[in-house]
Amino acid sequence: MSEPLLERATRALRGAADASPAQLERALERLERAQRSRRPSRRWLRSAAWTLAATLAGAGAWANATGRVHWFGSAPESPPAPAETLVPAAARQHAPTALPPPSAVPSDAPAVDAPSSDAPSSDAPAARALPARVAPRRATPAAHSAEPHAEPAPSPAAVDRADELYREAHAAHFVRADYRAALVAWDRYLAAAGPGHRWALEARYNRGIALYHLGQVAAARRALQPFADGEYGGYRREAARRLLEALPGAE
Amino acid sequence: MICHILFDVGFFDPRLRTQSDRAPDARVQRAAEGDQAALVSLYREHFASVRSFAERLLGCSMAADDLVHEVFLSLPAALGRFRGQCALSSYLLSITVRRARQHLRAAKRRRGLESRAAATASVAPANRPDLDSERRELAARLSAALDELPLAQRAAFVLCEVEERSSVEAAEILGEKPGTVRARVFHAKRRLRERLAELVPEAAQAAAGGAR
Repeated sequence: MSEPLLERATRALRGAADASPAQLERALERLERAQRSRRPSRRWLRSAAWTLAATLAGAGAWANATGRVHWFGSAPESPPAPAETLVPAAARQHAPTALPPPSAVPSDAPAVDAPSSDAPSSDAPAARALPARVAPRRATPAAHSAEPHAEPAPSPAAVDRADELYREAHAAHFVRADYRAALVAWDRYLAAAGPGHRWALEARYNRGIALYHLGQVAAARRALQPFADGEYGGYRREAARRLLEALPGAE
Repeated sequence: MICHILFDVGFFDPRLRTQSDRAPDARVQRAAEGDQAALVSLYREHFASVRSFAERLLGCSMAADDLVHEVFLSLPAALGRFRGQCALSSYLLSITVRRARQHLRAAKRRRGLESRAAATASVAPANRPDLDSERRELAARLSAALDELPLAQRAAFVLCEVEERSSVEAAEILGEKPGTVRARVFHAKRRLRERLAELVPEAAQAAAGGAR
């Protein structure tokens, strides 16, 4: 019935779409424009990738040279601090003696003025790590002074003394697990180094852990409470909270 | 994705796979390697057929421009997969059909805008002064009716009825068997007749009166 209508419409559609030479030129121009705009973007991506790779390589080399990162099994430079994993394990077990012996040793403790909870860890034992740290610092004072510090640096002798005390306390705490000696050593370190020393915060936290191990719950609570309350920002806050929750007598 | 690639190389069409004698010529190989002169040459040779088919398929000039642009922009990569399984013109049209799906909605929307603009202007487009308003109207109605069809039927109808290609040629482009293409055209025409009768009732009555 309506076949002629469909035929007429088909014929109309056939005639309505003939490409003109002007359209061809316009379309060709558009295509060339698109191809031109594509090519630089590939070049840009390639150059961006090279720039990124060079930046990463440079930053990595700098971090390795200055001891921020330890690659390929090289010994850590910084005094070790207790591992972040120590506290959750302790928090899960309510008895102070249930704390596992420290196996992980952070390679770089955060500075007091910029506390952070992301101190990188390495599995190198503390006893092996400590001598390796001090020697290069004494041998290369330039590299040492290149590290950024917000506070004026104490005299080298004071730094060495504080470092020595920190190492002693650390060894007593994490190597020998002698918490009584560790508590004394942490106190000595804190008295000698002062609150502004770069590992003072970590020492305070470790002191709380030592008290915890010794069963001095009230003292441990007093030592850890400022961390849990966020007085030092996010530094060890969650770990201290979990530990306080796990202390005997906690709700 | 894999199906698309296999479709590109004619894997699903045994008839096409046996036509290995149609190896791509040197110009196609150069274009596949990114030779600009070869690409422009192919573009000039095939633009008219691809552009016309795209406009007939989509029913919209602007959407057809976009579709053709996309087809030719992807040409170097597509030619890398071309093994001479069919004529290059058929291969280009098969790419056009496959990519048309993404442009159909935009074409429908733009066609609505164009028809409203044409209704207010009530003059023929400057680039096609030879088209009278009735023919333009009919073409627009048919494009609207084609919107109701699945893409496979739509492409088969445009290739066989509008472009008057044989079912074998259309089958080569669509990667189907000729019988399948004929069946699709048959169903497409049946639905289009019904739809056109709804869209253009007075013309249908006049046609019916003239037929008596």
